[in-house]
Amino acid sequence: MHESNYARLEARSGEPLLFKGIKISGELRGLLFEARVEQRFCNPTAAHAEVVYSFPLPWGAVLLGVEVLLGEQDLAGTVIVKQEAQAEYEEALSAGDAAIMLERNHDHSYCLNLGNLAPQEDCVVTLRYAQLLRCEQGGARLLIPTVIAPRYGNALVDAKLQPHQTTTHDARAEHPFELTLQLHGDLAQARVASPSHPISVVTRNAGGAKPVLQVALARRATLDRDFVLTIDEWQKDSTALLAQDSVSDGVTLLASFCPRISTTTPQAIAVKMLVDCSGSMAGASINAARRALQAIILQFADGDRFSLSRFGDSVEHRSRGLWLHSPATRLAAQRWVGDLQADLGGTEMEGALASTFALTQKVSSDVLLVTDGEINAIDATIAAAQASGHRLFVVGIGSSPAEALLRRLAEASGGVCDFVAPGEAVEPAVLRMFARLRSPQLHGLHLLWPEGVEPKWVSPLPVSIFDGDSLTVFAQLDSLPSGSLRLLGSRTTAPEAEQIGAAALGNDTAAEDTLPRMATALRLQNPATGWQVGDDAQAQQLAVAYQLLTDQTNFLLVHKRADAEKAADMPALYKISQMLAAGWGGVGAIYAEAACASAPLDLCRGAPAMPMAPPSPMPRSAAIPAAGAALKKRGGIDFANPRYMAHGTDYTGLTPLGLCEWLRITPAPQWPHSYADLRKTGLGVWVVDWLELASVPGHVASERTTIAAFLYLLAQPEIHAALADGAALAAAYAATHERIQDLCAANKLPPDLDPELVDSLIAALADLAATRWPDSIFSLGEIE
Amino acid sequence: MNTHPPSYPLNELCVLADLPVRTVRYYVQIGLVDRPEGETRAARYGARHLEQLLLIKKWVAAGLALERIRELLHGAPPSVPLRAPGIGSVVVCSHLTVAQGVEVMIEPNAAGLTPEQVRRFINGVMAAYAAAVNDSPAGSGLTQQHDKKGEM
Repeated sequence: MHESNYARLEARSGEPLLFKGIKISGELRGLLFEARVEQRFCNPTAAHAEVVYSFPLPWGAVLLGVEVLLGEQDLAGTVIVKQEAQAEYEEALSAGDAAIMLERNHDHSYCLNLGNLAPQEDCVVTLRYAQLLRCEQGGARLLIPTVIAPRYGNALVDAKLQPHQTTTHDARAEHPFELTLQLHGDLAQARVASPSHPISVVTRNAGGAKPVLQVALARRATLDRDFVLTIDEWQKDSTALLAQDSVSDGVTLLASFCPRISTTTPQAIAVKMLVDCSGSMAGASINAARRALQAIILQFADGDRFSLSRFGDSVEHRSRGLWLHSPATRLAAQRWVGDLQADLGGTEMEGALASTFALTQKVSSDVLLVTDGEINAIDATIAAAQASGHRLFVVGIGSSPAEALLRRLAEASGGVCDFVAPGEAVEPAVLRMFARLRSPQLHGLHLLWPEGVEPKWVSPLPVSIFDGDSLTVFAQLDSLPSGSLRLLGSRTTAPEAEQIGAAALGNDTAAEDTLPRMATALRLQNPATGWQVGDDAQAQQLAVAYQLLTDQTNFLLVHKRADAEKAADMPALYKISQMLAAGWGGVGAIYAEAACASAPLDLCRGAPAMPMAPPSPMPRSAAIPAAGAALKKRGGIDFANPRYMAHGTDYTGLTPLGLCEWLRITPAPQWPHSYADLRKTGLGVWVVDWLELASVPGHVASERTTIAAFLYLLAQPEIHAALADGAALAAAYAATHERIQDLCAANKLPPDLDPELVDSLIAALADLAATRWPDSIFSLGEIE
Repeated sequence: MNTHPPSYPLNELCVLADLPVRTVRYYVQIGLVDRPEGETRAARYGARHLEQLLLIKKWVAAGLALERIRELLHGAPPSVPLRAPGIGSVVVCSHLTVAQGVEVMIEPNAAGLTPEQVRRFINGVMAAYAAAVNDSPAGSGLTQQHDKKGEM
C-alpha cells in the first residue's frame, strides 16, 4: 500500500489516528521465545485523550516487563493488586495527570489504557514477554497473534468483558506491523517458512560466534492476520534448564521431554467430526476446512469409525451414530464435505458439542473439531467439554483463530490443538492429528527424581501424552540438582511403567529470573487439573512478588504533570478499532494476494454487520422450501405438516409417509429417474445416498432401476395405508410381493422394475414407520 | 418531580449504581450517560444519571447491544430508516458491475440520489477500484488519489 495512505488514514469518518502500529523483535533459543512488542501511539488532537487498545498475546506467553516512553521521558511502573491499580488510575485521571494501566481480560486478551495523553504527545509502550514453544512431531510452530477477529455472542454477558475492553472492528482501519526474529543454536540450521506472510531468511555469521538465522517480513504488513512461523527438520531431545530464583531463594527447573512411545500396530480409532459452518468461516476458512476434511477422510483405514456433523445456529448430523469405514461411507463422507458451505448463521458451539457428545456409540470416541473458534461463550463450553469424557482434537482455521479458546478447549479435555493458516498445506497438520489419534494412550504418568532431590512443588503432568509432542515440566527446588530426571508411564496393555523420556540435570543454567516468573505464572493460572495455590490473597501476593499480570493484578504507571500541563476535564475516549482479520467472513480473498500486491476489499452479500453489535446470522440456505414451492404449484402436499416433512438434527426432508403421499398425488410420468431429481422432491440426502450406495449390498443395479424399484414400493396403496394408520407393514409388504409375482407371471411388469430388487428393499425397509426412516439408512447398512 | 441539583461525585454514583468507576466513566465518554455538571474532581451527578445507569445495566444484562441501548435511552431514530418491504412489493434496482466479483446495487429512491449524483458516484467507484488494483507509480497515482478524496 502507498506511504501516503498511512499518513492520511482516518479511523471512522473523520476521527483522528492515534495508533501508529506495532513493531516486534524476538529471539528464539531452544524452546524459549522472548519478544519485545513496541506499540506506538500519538495524540494529534488539541485536547487530552484517553486511548484504549485491546490486543492478543500468544497462548502461554508470560508478560515480563512494560517500559513506557512518554514524550521524551522513560518511565517505569509496577504490577499491583487490581483494585488498587484501578482506583489509582481513576485518581490520576481526575487529578489531570497521565496514567497507563495494562490489564488482562477475562478472555485472555489484554487491554492497554493510556489516560490523559497530552495534545501532540507521543507514547511508545514496549512489552516484553516470554513463551515456551512446543515441539510437535519433529517441528514447531511459532504463532504471534496480531488481531482479534469479531466473535459471535455477547461480549459483555458471555465473555464477561467490561464495556471498555470490548473490541470494535473497522473495515477501513490499517495498522502497520513490523517483525524481525533471530533464531539461535541448532535452530539456525532448521528449515523455516511462513504460511501467513512473505518473509526473508538470512543466515548471519557474527565473527566467529555461532550462526544466527534472521527472519524479517519481506513486504509491508498490517495487523490483519496472525504471524505464523513453521520450523521443520528440528528434533529436540529431552533437556533441562535451571535458574536461580531471587524472590524465593531456590532454584527453578524447566524440563522438556520429547516422548518416544513405540507403537507396534496402528490402532483403530473412533472419531466424531464436527465442522463449524457459521458465517465467519465464509471464504478462505471454509475452503481450508474442506481441504482438511478431505485429507482426513483419506486417512481413515479399515476398522476406523467416524461420524460427520456440522453446526452454526443449530447442529446437523449426517449419521445417528458412528459409521464403519467402507467404500460406501467414504464416498458419502466425501460428498458431504464437498457440499459444506458457511451458511448456518451464528456459532452455537456449546449446543453443537453437547449434541455431538450424545451421538450413540458403543466404543469410546474422540471429537475432531474444525473451527475458527470465534465465540464469546468460552467458560461454559470448556466445562462441558471436560465433563463429556471425550478428548477434543481441534483444528484451528483462519487467519486469526481464537487461539486461547481453542487451546484451552483442547487441553481441558485431554486433546491437542493444531492450526492451519490460510494458504498453508493442510496435510501435515492432518497427519500429525492422526498420528496422535492412533497413538496408544498411556496412563499413570509420573516423574522419577534422582536420589536425594525433593522438589518443593512440581507443575501437573498433562492428561494425555503423544509420541513426538514435547511435554514441559516446571519445578521448584531448594538447591542445584544433578543426575537425571525420568518420565514414566504405563500402557493399558502392559502393567509395568516404561521410560518415556529422560533429561540430564545441572548442565544448562539460565540467567535472570525469566524461568522462575514463568513457573509462577503457570502456577497461578490454576488449570483445570486443580493445582491450587491457596486462597486469593496468597495468589495476589505471589503475583505481586514476581510482578506478574494476572486476573488479580494490573500493571500501573502514573506520571504526575506540572500544574500548567494538567488536564482540566475528562479526556476524550479513543478506542482503537481492530482491523478485520483477512479472509474473515469472506471479506477479501487471501489467495488473490499471491497474484497482486493487495486484494480488493469486497464485502460479500450477506456478510454480518461490522460495528459493536454481535454479527447478525447469515441467511440459511434453504433447499427444501424451494422444492416445497415447486410442489405447491402442483397443488402438492403440505410441507408444514410434520407427518410429511421432518426437521431434525439428524434428518431433514420427506418422511416415508410424506414420500408416499407425494407419489400418490404426482402422476407417474413426473417421477424422478435420477438421484439428483430424487433429491429435488424434498427427500433428504441421507435416504438418497443410502439408496445409491448401500441399499442393496452385493447387488449391482443401475440408477434407474434402483429408483424405479424404490418408488414403486412406496407408491403401493397398502403401504401408504399401513403407514398412515400406524399398522404393521408385514401384511402390506406381503401383498406387494404377491402383486409383483402376479404381474411377473402375466408378463405385465412395468419397465425398469426388478422384482428381486424390490424384495431386497422390502427386507431393508422392514422397520419403516410413518415419520421415521429405519436406522439402517443412517448407518449406511452397518449397525453401530 | 426531581428538583434536587446533581450533587454526588462519581464515586458515590458508582456505589449507588453498583457499577465499576471505569464502566460509568466509559458510558459518559461515549455519550450513553449525560455529562456531569462540572469536570473531573468537581464533577457532580444526580438522579437523572443514576436512572440512566440503572436502565443501561438492565438492558446490558438482557443482551442488548450498546448502540441499541443508545437509541432506547435518547429516543433518537436510527440513522437509516428500517425498510420493511411489503408482501408482494416490487423494487427496481440498478446493478453496476465494477469488475469481476464486484457489484454495486443502487436503489435510487431509497438512497435519495439524483441522477447526477448517481453518475458521479459511479465514476468515483470505478476510479477507486482502478486505483486500488493497479500498482500505479508513486507520482501520478498518489495525486489522483488526493484529488479524488478532495472531490468527494
